[in-house]
Amino acid sequence: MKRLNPIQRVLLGLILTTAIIAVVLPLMFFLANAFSNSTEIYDYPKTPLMSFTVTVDVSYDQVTEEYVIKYVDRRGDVKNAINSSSMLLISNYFEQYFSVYRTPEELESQFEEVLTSGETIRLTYAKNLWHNFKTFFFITSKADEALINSIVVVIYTIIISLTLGSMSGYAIARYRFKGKDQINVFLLIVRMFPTVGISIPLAVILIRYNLFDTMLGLAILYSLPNIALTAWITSSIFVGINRELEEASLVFGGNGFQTFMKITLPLALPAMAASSMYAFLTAWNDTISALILTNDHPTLALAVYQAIGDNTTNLQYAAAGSIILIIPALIFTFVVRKYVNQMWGSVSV
Amino acid sequence: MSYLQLINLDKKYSAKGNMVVKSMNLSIEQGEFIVFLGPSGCGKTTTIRMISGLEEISGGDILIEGESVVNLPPKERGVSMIFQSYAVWPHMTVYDNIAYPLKLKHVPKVEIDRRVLAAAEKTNIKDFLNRYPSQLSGGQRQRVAVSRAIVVEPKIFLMDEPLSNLDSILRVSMRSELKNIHETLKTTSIFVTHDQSEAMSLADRIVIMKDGLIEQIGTPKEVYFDCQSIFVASFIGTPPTNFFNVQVIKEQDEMVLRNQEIRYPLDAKEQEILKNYLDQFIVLGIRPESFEISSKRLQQTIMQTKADFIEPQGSHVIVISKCGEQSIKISSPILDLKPKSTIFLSVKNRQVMFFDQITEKRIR
Repeated sequence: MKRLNPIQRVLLGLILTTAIIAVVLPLMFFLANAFSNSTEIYDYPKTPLMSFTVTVDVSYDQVTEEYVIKYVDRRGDVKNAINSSSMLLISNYFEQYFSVYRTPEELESQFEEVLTSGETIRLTYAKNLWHNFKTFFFITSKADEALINSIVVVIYTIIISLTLGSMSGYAIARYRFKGKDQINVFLLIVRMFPTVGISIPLAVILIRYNLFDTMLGLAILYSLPNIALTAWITSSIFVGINRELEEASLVFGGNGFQTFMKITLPLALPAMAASSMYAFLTAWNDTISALILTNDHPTLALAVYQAIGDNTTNLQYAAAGSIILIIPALIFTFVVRKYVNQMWGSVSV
Repeated sequence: MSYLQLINLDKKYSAKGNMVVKSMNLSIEQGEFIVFLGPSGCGKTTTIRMISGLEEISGGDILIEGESVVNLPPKERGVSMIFQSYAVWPHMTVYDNIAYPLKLKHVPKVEIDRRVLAAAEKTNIKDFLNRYPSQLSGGQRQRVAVSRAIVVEPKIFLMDEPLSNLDSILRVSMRSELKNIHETLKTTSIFVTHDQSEAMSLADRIVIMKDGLIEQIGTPKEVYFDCQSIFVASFIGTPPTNFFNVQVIKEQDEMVLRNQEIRYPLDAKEQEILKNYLDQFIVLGIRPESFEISSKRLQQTIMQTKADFIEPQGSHVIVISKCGEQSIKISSPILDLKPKSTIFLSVKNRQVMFFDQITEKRIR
């Protein structure tokens, strides 16, 4: 690799740092939001760092005979929280506003010291990090069904776009036929259409064939651009696979189908993986089309979107929903990444 | 009856396109090692691809053991093939590569094991059976391809320039190994190459092709010493044969071949051959090693020239010289020849060839 001169190095460093900050900083804010409790969410200014604990000042008001709980934010500012004599109420408040799960008995034993000394004590509790996720599923109707719907629609999309796309990719790569160049261009044109534009006419068609509000109908929509993309990606890989590898299989006893399954397909695996990743991400992250094409059976992305719309004050739950949305995409991408990397490597021998 | 027969075999790639192979006829006996030799684009690869069934034929017939195989898919023709790029499947281990044809035929597992091991032993790749092709060198990959081809015990063994991707040292050693394998297995083999030394060292018979036509079929000795056409004479042998345009004329009692530099007296046999060409121009072909160099004019000297350049080759030298405007090459065992010295050329043992100027065929 060429050595860079100092100016180039500084410039490169700056660019890389900017890029990293541009990616990492929003991600940290996002995580901080998703794991913050209902009180922290109103902290201002916000810090990008996630907090794992909650600090409270507890004192006892002799006059009203109530415990006085004050919330201490991360800058040390003390804010009023709740006055109450009922341990049950306090316990519920802790769960709802601090994401801290403690039984009334536990709290009572910890507060005993305040009763006797009469002084204010500062207590730190570990947050239950799953609180927002639980609440998300609790307050968002059909969130669990939406998760399953999302998985189903992703599977359909991958199957449809991979089978049709790879077959057409193979045809483009291997056969000569009239209008091949035009078809190549048309494949790109398909990707130009905004999905919203296709969604509405497609909704009419889907209603007619009883596919409206079904995952298959949605998958058909997501497959449209992905078939084209898959055909593009796989055809470039199929072109790169030496024809002699397939011919060898034909000579040594394979028929066309066996050759495709045992030789061509394994060699095209990186392309398939890359295409399936794109198919996955389209189907998993889309909200607009799902909004148009479904009624009672939302996908997870749609459910999160609706959660934001419904709970403008409790953004942390929507953020938690987004995390649920990200994790499978993250796992899938990492699994597939291994094969995608091969795409620029050892395919052709 | 011959083992493999090509009858009026035609091939063109598109309806309007050129004929790549033009009504080819060839009979091959069982156990023969045939080499298709020719420059690139002469149709030799197309021919063996048609035999293997990878390429459709446009006309004619292919018979294996007397039965037409034209309508059979490649796998039912009983042929196996070694490809130029080895075509070893990169996603399978060496063992799986070799076992693949047997697995598809549902051979029992024990039998597969035995045959793969036997094939791997023959090609010395027994130690690499669990490796992937990317971990092997070019030569080892080629051995895998050979093992895979012999494991199916084919009727005919087709090889499409199998050595052309190897370096020159490996090529020579693989060549003798292939020869060795053929000696033991006695499988009918067809080998395509553009390298004449490969063809010479391997073949029982060489089929020399040009522009889709067979120029000559013969043993290595025949195609070298008994060329049928100017093309064969120029294609076989390094450096290539020198050609001279000469006129057959009668000087006194004697018939001679003449041009401005050359005077070649014909003996009785040669006079008989050329009796119809009196006063006509013909092409005289003389191989570089058929020349004899002497420092003074002898009785048999046919021309006088100057040694322009000397290229030492170790055991002999190549002298580059001129006959009129035409450059000629002479192979000589005289190692201490001085550049720019005058030399007199004669022909050893009357090793000359006469060709018709128009048909470019040998006159005999």
